[in-house]
Amino acid sequence: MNLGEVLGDAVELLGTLTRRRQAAGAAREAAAAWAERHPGYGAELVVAERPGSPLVDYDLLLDWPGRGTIAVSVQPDDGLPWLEDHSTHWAAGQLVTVDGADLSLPDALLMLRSLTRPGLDPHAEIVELCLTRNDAAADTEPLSEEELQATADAFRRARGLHDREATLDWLAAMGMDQAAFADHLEVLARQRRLRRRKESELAAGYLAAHPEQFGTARASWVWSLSPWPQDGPLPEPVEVPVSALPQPLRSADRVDAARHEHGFVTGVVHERLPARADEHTLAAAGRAAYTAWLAGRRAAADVRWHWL
Amino acid sequence: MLLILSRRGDTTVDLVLPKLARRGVDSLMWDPGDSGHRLTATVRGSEIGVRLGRTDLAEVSAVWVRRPGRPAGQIWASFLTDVWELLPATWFPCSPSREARADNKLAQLALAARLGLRIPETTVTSDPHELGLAYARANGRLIAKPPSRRAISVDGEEHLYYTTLVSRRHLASRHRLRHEPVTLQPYVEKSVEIRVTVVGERVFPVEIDSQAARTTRVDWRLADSSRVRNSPHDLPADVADRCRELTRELGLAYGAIDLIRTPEGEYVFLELNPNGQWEGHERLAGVPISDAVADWLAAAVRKDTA
Repeated sequence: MNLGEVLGDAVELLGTLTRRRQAAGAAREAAAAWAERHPGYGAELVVAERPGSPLVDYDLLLDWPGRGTIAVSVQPDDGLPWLEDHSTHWAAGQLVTVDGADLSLPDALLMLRSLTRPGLDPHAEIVELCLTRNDAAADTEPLSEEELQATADAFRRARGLHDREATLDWLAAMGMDQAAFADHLEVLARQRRLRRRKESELAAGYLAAHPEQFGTARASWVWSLSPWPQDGPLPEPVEVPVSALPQPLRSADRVDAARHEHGFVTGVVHERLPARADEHTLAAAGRAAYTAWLAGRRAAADVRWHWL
Repeated sequence: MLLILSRRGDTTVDLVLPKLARRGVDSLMWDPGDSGHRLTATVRGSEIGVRLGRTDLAEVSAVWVRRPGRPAGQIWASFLTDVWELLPATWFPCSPSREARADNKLAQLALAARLGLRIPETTVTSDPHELGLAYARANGRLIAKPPSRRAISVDGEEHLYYTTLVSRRHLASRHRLRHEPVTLQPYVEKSVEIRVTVVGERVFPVEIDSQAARTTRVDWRLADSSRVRNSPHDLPADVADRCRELTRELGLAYGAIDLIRTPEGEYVFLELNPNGQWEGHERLAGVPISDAVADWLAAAVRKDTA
C-alpha cells in the first residue's frame, strides 16, 4: 500500500470516530486495529480533550519514513455550528451549586483549608460553607472594624501568617491580590457574624430541649491499649461537662474495658449534675444548636455537584 | 405608578425597590412568564384597557423592563408586545419592540464609528472561506464571538460561548460557519476592560482588571466574576459623551457598554447591551448605579425625565 492509499485510509478512519470524551477509548481501539492493518507507519492516535466540553479532537500521527512525521486531522461536518462546537459547559469553572449559588474552583480551593470538622465528610462541609456564604452575600449590614480585624487575625493565626511578609507570600502562592483578599475576609467576617448571631439566638432553646447534653459529671476513667483489669485502679474523680466524657460514659454510669476509638475505656460516673444555664453552658449549647441548624439546612438544600 | 416587568426573586429589583419607596414611587411588579392570565387587556379601536389584577394600567406612567419571563404561547407574547407599544408610558431602558433593534450589534458598531469611537475591524460571516482570510488579516490574532445571544446546548447540557481566540486548529472546522454565522474581529490588546453603564445622562465607568489572571485575559466572564477586580474608572469626557450619545441614539435610557482600553491608552468600543446586568459592578466597584436607576425611574413616574 503506498503512502497516498494509507493517507486515504487514515482520513476514512478519522471520519468514523465519535468526538466525545466517553468515546475516546473506543477510538483508541479502532486506531490500534487500523495500525495493525497498516504496519510500518508507527500510527498513533492523539486525543485532545477540550476543557469544559464533552467534545474531543483527534489527530493520527504517521511516520513519513526518512522524512519526518505526518499528522492527519479531520473535522467531519456533523451539522454542529461553530458556536456550539467551541462552546463551554456553563459550569466548567464551578465545583458545586448550592441553592442556586455557584462555588467556583478557585473559591473551592480556598475553602479546603477551612474544612476542619472531624466526622463530617468534606462534601457535607463544603455544602454547609456554601450555605453560610450565600447568607453572607445577602447580608448588607456594614461590618465593623473590630469584626474585620478579628476575622483577619483568626485567618492569619490559622495559617501561621504572623507578619506582613508571610501574608504577602501566601497571597502570591494563592494567586490572589490584596483587594481580593480583603473581599474574602469580608465574606468570612459575615459568616462569623452569622454564626455568632445564630448561636446566641438558638442557645437557650437548644439547652432547654437537650439538657442531658450539657450537665456535668463527677467521674474517673482510664484509656488503655489493652483491656483494663476490672479491679484495676482508677484516678481521682474530676468534674467535667458530659460532652467531655469518653463517649461510652456519656450514657452509662460504669463501663468496663469498652472498645473506644483505637483502644479501651474503663470508668465510673459517680454523680451527674443537671445543666446550669451559665455563660459557659449557653455557649456550648449555642455551638451545638448551630451545628444542628446547619445540618438541617444542608439536608433541605438543593445541591448539584458538577464534576463528581 | 411604576410597573416593573421581571421574574420573582430578581435581586437587582430587590436592590432598587427600597430606593424607589424612599423616593415616594408606587410600584407594581409582574412577570409575564409567571402568571400571564392575571392581566386582562382589551384594545378596541384606539381605546386600550389593560388591567393587572385590580390595577388599571392607565395609572402606569413608567415601565422598567428588567428580566421578564416569556408568556406562555406565541399569541400572548405577540399580543403583549403590541399592547406595551400602545401603553402611554415612559420605558426603561426601552419598550420590548425597540430592544431588539437597539441590540443590533452591526448597527451599534456603525453608529459607534460615526460618533467617533474606535471599533475593531469586524467580519460577520457564514462563508467558511472568510475565516482563513480574517485570520490572516489579523496576523493569527483573531477572536470569534456570537453575532447575537442565543441558548446553546451540547448533549442536552447548557453551554456558553465565550469570546475565543481562533487557533490554527480551529481553521479546520471552518465548514461549521455554514450552519451559523460568526463575528470575527482582530484581538485588541488590553490594558483593562471598561464596562460603562449609562443611566439617562449619567455615566458609570467601571474598570475590570481582566489582564491580572490568565483565565480572564480574552473573556473575563470565563472566571468567577467576583474574583476579577472592579473599580471606578476615570473615563475621558469625550468618550463618556460618546457613550451617552450612542445610548440616546439607540433610543435607550440605559446601556451597558463594553470598551477596551489598549496599552496605548486608546478606547475601543466592542458592544452595547441594552439590558445588561449592573448589580455586580455596583457591588464590586462601589458605584451608585442603583441610585441612578431609582432617580431615573422616579423622575419618569413624575414625567420629568430628560
